[in-house]
Amino acid sequence: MKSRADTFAALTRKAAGNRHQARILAGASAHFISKRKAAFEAVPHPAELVRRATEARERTLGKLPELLLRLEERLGDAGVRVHWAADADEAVAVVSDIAREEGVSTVVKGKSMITEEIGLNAALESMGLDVLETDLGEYIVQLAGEGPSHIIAPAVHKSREEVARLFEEKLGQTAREAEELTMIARRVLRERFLTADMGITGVNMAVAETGTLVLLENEGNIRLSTTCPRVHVAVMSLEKVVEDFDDVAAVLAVLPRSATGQKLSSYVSFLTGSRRGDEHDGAEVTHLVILDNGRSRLHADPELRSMLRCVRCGACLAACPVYRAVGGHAYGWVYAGPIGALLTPGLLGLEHAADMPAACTTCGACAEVCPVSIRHHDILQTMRIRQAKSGQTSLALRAGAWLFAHLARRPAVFGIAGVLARLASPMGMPRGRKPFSRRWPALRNRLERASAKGHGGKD
Amino acid sequence: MAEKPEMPETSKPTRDRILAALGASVEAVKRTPLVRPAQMPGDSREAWEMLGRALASLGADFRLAGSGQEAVGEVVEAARLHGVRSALLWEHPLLERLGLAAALAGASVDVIPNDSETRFCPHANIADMGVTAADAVFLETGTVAVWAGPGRERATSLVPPLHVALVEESVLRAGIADLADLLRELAASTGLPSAVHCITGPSTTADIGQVLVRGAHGPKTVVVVGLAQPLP
Repeated sequence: MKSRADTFAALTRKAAGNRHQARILAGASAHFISKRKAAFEAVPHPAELVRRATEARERTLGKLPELLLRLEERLGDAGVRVHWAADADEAVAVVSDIAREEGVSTVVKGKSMITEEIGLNAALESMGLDVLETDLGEYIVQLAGEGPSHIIAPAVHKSREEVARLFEEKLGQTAREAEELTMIARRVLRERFLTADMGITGVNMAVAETGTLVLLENEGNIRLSTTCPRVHVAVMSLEKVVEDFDDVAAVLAVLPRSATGQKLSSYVSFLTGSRRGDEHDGAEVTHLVILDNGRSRLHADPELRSMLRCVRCGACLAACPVYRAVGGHAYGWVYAGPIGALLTPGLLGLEHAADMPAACTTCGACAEVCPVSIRHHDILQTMRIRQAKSGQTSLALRAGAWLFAHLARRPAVFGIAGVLARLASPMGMPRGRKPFSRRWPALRNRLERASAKGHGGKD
Repeated sequence: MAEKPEMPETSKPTRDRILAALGASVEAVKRTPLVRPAQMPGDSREAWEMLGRALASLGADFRLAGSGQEAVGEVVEAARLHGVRSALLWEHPLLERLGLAAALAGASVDVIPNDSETRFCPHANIADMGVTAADAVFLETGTVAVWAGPGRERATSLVPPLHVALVEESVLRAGIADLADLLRELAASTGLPSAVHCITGPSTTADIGQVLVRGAHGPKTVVVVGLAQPLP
């Protein structure tokens, strides 16, 4: 997918004015955060679960080349055809070749950020293939001709009424309630599952010890995509490998809880090879495409590497005040929120997403909710430092930072500058306002009272 | 073992370049045991109750049968309740010993064959109900795990809108950490099945306005029938 991250500043300005979207995002984010919180509070030692999941992902990163080689061998033993792709073009070429060789004309797809990354749908469609997104949220945005705006809830930016109007326009049928709208989509998509030639999915985890692909979902569209069509193509981001089933279980203990507050997703599938000779369903041929697309460079960078622990739960999006203000599309590419602010410059290069590291208030809410202990705000700070050192920061910002640093080392001068600033009152601030240090006690009282009212005394 | 496919010639150099570009391996991260929050309850009654609670919170139905005959009765009742006219069954010793196919036929439910000239999924799509056994059940989450195999089609627990799972007490386990043990044992002994599906409640989505809807693509209704007594 072509990145528009270089226009991030403009996209965020536009998005910040969208009050309708802001209301929806505020509601959705609050919903996800409260679900997540309840799920972790219900277990006796949540910090232990996070620690063990972090260990599993760090173990992967610590021996990545070895695990990938072991995975390749076990996949081969299981009869899976393994392909390696250095970048998006290679991955697309591989999948296109598979489709051609297998005589595929219709494709059903599970939700997969990595296939968005490589622009797979457009490429297959240009070959004349019929490609259908089957995750309900992805199906909705596909009908609307948009991209997903959220890692786990692709259509979170659309209200029920908008979806109803969309179905009426594109499908010639509609309903009022979410349940009936979902049943319309179920009927339309069921026919397609039954006749498709190929199912394409991502991979949540790949077990090096056995060559098993692990796929999580709630709807059942991934199971249908890997049970009904003759061919299964799985596209995997290379850091998704894990060593063994214990590490799988460690991630399963935190990923659904962190994403939606569930103890476990409705369906967790462990696929080891294709259907056996005496079985009646399941794919007859399975291909796995292992994709780099910038990850090896990140892996080789010790300060950035930890972002590859990500298990795509989406909790950092729900926690982030920046994401809540601008929504997913403003990030201009596939990944949004704090992980998007890391992966976009990380995978594409800082120069292609230069404004993104600044899209962070450093509040650290992301790090607090991350089930694999990524410190997004620290890594973004590292990126800012790298930008400053390589002269990528604007003259205005550099001059302003120099001035501030100059003043901050001279308290008396700082004080005078403060008095002058309060008299001049730039940026529309009330003239002659008391310094913040004198306003803080009363403000703090007001905040504490409001917080107690809103959360029943708990923070 | 499956026939090992040839890797495309073009792929090997790509693989080697990618592996060479990765960062150097670091000191091995110390392996610690899995966290095991879930414990097996002391007795059967408690275990079944725990399962019942977990399933209820998922919007799935749980019935505890005191005998094989009662279990069959529960399946027939579920069929009646959901207006089932045709059913797809696993070819499985438990279902056969229960005489389930005959009982359903006697209740005017058409039991469709396990084989089809055409592709299996469209065939399974005829059925209103799919009946399987359970290869493992995890009490912590209310999860029913099914392995694929001959006569144990994946579609049976996926395609029809109602899935009924028959659970013997011997398959009950505490939680997901036990799943890891189970899969490891399987891999070391008879080999992993082509598919293991862990099913936790009905199919769900909340993609439209964050409103929870069941039956997005997979079954809308899941009924778990527990056999409190092992079959003679």
